Amino acid sequence: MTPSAPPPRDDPDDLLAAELALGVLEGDVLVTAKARQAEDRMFAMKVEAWSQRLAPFADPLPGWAPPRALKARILAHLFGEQGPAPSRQGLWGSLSFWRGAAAAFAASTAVAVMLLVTPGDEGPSPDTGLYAALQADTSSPALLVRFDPQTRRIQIAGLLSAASAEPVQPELWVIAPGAPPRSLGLIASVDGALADGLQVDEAAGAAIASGAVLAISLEPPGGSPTGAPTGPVIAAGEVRTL
Amino acid sequence: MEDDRLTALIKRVSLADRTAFSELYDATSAKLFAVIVRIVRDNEEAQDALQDCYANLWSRARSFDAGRARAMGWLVMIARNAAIDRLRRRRPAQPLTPAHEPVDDTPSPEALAQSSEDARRLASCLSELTDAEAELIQRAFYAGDSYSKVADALDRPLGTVKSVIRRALMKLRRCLDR
Repeated sequence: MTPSAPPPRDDPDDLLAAELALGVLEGDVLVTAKARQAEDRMFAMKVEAWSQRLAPFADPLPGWAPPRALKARILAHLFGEQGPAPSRQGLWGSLSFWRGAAAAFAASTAVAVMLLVTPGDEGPSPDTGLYAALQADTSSPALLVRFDPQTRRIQIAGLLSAASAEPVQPELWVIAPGAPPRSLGLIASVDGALADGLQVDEAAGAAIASGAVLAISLEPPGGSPTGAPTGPVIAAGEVRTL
Repeated sequence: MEDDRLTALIKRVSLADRTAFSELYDATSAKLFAVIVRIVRDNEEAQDALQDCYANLWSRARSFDAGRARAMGWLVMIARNAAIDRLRRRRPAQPLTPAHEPVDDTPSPEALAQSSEDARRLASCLSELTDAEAELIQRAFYAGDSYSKVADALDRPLGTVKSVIRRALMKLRRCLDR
């Protein structure tokens, strides 16, 4: 974006990234370039930047609807024969998702997860605990959640915003690796005022540990009617300890 | 704005939201299929490539960075990669089942300029290239042709095709980043 961008000859990587994004490479050069894209983050970012530069070429193309049956085939291929899960189940349905989600959050550099100290069981200490930063997108943390394993009290700070036509209440969930989501309670009133804190029972407290995921879904007033999340996820983040 | 809606859908897909995935398919499949059909030029294979495209999209949604990438641009490049992968793997003599209707030629500079703000900038930069540079880079983009395929199709030396396209890329970059 600056006029002082280096001249092309000074950056053979940028040219290779452009060729890969355009799709003109083949054979060994293509294989090597793809391997670099997978391993070298700087190079991958150059390819992505070139993809973005070139993609508007597709904007004038008139849409061409694929055969109707193809969608069902693709959904069956990805999700098994039943096609998309019913919306009440949404993403919360499967255990394998949550295992995947925990891995995804751990692997993603885009999710800013804040991990602070936990004292374990080494004695009372009011200033320590487990923390998770929950966010809705890559731009900024949405909420900071702190959990004190001694008192089993959750405190929440931050901004919560979610547009919804229906009255909803945000509900906090913990998903321990391999376990279904467990409700920790409603974190705000219907009008959006954050709760002072939540007190959780022993079993729920034990689930809030390193590697678990905390997530917030929007539920009908009073909370999920089923005991499992039913509404859209508006924020999620991983719990860890340092 | 349309791109905001797509960005929100991709975010939900990254959390394995199947309903969002279904909505994303409905919102984008015609555009992505149009991109793919031009490249593979075979109806059956285009459907396979579209399936590859959405499978990749499902597994890679969490790598989408709304701060750096326009949603539709990100989707288009996943579609092109899926189509080009199929094209490169194809046996040379493989018979094709033709797509339903003939694929249009390269969109005109006017059509490009009028389709979006980003495309308008791209069209403006394209007008600074020589005719040969503009022709070859667009051929490579829309048809997904490799250097050697462009050279064969136009009966020009491979080295010439490479240098023309490379020059075109670097001119585009200087212009777009200006």
